[in-house]
Amino acid sequence: MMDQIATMSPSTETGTPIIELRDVCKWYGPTQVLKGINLTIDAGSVMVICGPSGSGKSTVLRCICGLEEAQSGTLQVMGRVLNKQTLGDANFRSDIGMVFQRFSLFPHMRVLANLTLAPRKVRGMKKSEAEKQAHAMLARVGLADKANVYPNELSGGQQQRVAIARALVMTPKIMLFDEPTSALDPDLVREVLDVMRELAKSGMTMVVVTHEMGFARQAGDRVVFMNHGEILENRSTEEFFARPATEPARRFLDNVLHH
Amino acid sequence: MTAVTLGEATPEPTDDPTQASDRRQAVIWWIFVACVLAWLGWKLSALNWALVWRVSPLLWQGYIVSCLLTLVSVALGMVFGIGLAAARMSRFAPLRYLSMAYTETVRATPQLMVIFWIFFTYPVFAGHNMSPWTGAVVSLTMIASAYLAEVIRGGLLSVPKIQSESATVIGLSRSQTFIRVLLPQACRNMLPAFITTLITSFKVTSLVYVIGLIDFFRAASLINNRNFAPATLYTVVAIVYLITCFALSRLVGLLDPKYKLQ
Repeated sequence: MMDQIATMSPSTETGTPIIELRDVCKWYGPTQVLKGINLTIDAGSVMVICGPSGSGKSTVLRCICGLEEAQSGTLQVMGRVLNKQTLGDANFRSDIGMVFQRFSLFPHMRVLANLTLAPRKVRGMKKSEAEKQAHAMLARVGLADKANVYPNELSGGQQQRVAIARALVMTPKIMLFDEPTSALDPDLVREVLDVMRELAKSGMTMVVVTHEMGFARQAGDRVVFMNHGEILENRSTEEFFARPATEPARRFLDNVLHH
Repeated sequence: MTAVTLGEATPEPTDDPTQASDRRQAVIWWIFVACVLAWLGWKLSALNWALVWRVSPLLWQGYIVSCLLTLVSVALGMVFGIGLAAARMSRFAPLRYLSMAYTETVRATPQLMVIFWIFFTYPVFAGHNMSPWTGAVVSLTMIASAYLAEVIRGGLLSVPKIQSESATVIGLSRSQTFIRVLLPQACRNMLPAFITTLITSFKVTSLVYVIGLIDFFRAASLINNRNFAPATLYTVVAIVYLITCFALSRLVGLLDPKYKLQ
């Protein structure tokens, strides 16, 4: 288990910037959803992005993994500027893992096939090798016995753990989480957060959009607070939770903590 | 005393009045159906069944032609339909317009005209004639592919966007995403519409007589020209079409895969 985690750790040197956004702007039609985002994320660190809905948190993640294109500004990931060319490189793309809110598993494939598809088709791995790796990864997220079931036979929490495992089999250098627990029943949130905490401990670079402030406090190195497409705060976790500097962040924390 | 025995013999005494009235309605309904069937049977028995028996090999041949044409045109139509649907959703605009033009043209044209047009204009372009079989297969495939393209496109559009997004982020290319992720789910979603197209295709085969092919329907009318028994022959035709199309519609249950969409 331990050396599995060790092999999971990104090779990039801890502490150096692995994601850099410079003055990133994005519009959906006439509405500007990102208003000049500047953000640096160090390798091996866990950054939590929070903020009210519609503040552009998810859009930041979607720009980093190439699902959305920024209209101006530059995004650099692992030393490479994101553009059509770099995003056309499947190996580069799959170095950035992403976990969505829900329903991202392929419902027509068993869990094992969900996990072996990309390693085989993108990395050209042999079937037996990919399956061995998939079984190991399922064991890591605590679902060793679920390899041969269809996603709809799993609970929401189990589905999210499989989604994490599916991202991890591509040995990504960065893991992005877009509200991975917000569509789950409260009693299923914990098992997903546990897997994420373990992943954070293993030294994975993580960017997590979440309302789970408990997770942010425990696992996060930095907290970014966004509002109306702008970053209002970007501080260490202790500082942020001790006392947010801006009024919207204070109000947000108040709402989330005492609802 | 008798009343008590009777009461005990009643299987399930219901105190729910709606249930009792439901049962009464069901009984009346079945009596009605039985009467209609008896009347139909009586009338049908008067038909010339000896003739049907005598000409059954001919009818059977026609039926095989109809079935073969349906199978071949739907199978080929599926292949081209997938291509057309993929083209229509392509990022390359000319491909999109080409697919759209083809699909809309064929769908907006009477099927009979497509069959005529292929069969009679082909020699103009190619300089030699087309066999009726080729003409029928080509034109029916063209018709099926246009209708199936729309069915497949509908199926593809019904797959949630997050499916292609999650395929993209794990590194799959656009074509891998299409073949491995979107198409299988689309096929599942479009099954009922596909069966409808299959049934329509079977019925459309009755038009190929215009280019000299003897399908099931044509076989019956040719026999009728010779033996003149329209009531008998067209009743048989109706029953056979009914049974075939009903059987095809039951295919949904057989083809339905066991996984569910979330």
